[in-house]
Amino acid sequence: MNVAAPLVEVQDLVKHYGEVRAVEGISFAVGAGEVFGLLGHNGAGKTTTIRMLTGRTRPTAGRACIAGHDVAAEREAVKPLINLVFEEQNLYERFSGRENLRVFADLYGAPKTWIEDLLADVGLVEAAGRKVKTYSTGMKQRLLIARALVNRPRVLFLDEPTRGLDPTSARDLRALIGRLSDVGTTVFLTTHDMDEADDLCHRVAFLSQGKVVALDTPQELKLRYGRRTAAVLLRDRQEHLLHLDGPEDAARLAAWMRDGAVLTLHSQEGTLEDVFVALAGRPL
Amino acid sequence: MHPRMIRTIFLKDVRDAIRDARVLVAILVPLGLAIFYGAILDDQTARPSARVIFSAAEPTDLDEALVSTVGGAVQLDLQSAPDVTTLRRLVGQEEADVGIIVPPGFDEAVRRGEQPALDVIVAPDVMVGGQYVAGSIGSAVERLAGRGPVADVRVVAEQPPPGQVSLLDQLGLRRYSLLTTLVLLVVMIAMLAVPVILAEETEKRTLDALVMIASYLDVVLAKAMVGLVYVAIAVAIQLGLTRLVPADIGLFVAALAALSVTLIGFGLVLGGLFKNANQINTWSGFLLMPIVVPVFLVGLPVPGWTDLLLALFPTSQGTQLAVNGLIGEAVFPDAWLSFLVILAWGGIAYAMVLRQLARREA
Repeated sequence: MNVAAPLVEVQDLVKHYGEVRAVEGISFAVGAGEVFGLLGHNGAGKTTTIRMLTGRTRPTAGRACIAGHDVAAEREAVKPLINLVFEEQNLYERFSGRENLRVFADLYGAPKTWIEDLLADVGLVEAAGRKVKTYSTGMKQRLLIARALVNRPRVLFLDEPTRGLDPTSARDLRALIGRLSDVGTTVFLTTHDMDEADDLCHRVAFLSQGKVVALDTPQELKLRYGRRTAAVLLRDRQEHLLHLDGPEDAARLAAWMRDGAVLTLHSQEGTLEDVFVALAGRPL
Repeated sequence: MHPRMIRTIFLKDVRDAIRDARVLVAILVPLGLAIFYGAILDDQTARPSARVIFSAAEPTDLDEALVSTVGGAVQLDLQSAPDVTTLRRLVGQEEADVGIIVPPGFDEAVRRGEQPALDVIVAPDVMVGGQYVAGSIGSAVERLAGRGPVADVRVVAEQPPPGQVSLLDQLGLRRYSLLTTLVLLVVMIAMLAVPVILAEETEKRTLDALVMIASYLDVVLAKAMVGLVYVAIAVAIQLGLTRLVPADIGLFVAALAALSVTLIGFGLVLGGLFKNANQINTWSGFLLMPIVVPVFLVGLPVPGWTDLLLALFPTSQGTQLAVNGLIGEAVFPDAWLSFLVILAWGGIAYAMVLRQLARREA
């Protein structure tokens, strides 16, 4: 990950649809190989931001650059550098999995040999000749990911990538995202799953009402906005929730420890969901 | 514009669209109609026919005299029966329209000026052709006797003025039906199959995936090419299956090509307006009505204002050009005006397509 040499740069990006202010002047930078999460409730501006970053919507104001190219002004230069895993499973259902990949490999001018490698990467070699309409939701999602990798993008956008996936498929996808990051692919994802964002992302940005209200590593955000508490079970089977920042609770804990009254002690770190509630005032 | 991407999307659509039942129906219905019409109709259907059966003990020239008398008014099918019993049975069962029992020595007796008896048997429900033949037998016998008609009656069919030619008269029922189904085929592909293909890309969001690398213009041009190729293949199949051979192949092809390009433009507009293919299916009857109806009114005796209105429609102008190409004559004059009307509509259609593209790109 190299944040010093950002691959995605967003400066004061604004998008208005008439009276609706979807995005209100957001700025951030994402480095090569970084996994960056954009979090927020429905209508916060996540999808609009991705649409602007992928060149599918022109910003009302501001600028977004991919590898130094202005997305709005240099779309032709940006297109081969990026790809997107859509939230909808927008595949050609009357085609086989292999045919779907072949169409997009041809569009991007990618070698046909990559198709078999991608099918192997996402575990669809055996089903590659079957029509996509016979695939399960998880198989379609894996094919979507293979399609988005057909041009070996430098920046991969993922819109709710694990929605509808079973736990095994979701775990496999997270492992794949990790491998992509390892080889220098920048991954930009939106998700409602806070645990997923916590697991995957090097940094996350919280969007609320079109504005970035927090941006940092998950750990820093949790420390900054999350609860610092500990659950204590005493020998008399009484449970207590202690606030570590409170001097009174700290003294109580010290006393119980001194007396040997503590049976178990579990720290309860804040979660990204806590951060979100703290920032947005309501859960996702 | 990216030719390689247009080619890829075009090849994808050519293979994919034909697997869509809605597209398949749009192509197969007119093709099926054409095959059906081609099999059951005859261009000579308008001319009455009659099967006449002779029973003659000796050779007779009455059959030749009858053919000369009837001329081209009725299509005659002459046959002979081995005996009178067979003749009566065949006529009674309506296997023949008219039976003529020629007695021995009939020809010589007539030529000598005698009045020999001649029995004529008519089928129970004889049609106009048989009635005409039965009524002509007296004149045929006079002709056989060497007595010509008392007057040389010459019947000449007056040609209607140009522009009011009945297509049925000009083409015959079979060619008329085949031509109208051919134009219907173009309409169905251009204004039903093409918009369905485009709207399905929008509906299934595959369009979003395509424009991650291609442009909207690439996608739309590929759909237009698919429409043109489907039209070319379907028209060739229909012409081949029905053995319809245009006399002026250049004009015929140019007419259908111009009409296809224009209607595909409107098909693309429809595909851009509707968000899903089922909406197009639902509204297609209503939308296609003003495009299809003029095809069936061309050349028919309609009021003057209707004629003027028809002149404004691309399909009526395309049909007129196709008629000229099929017959090889300028049945409908001012071909250049027909092309001008079609291309003007094409200009309007593609201007609307470009406007839609500009809005999508923004």
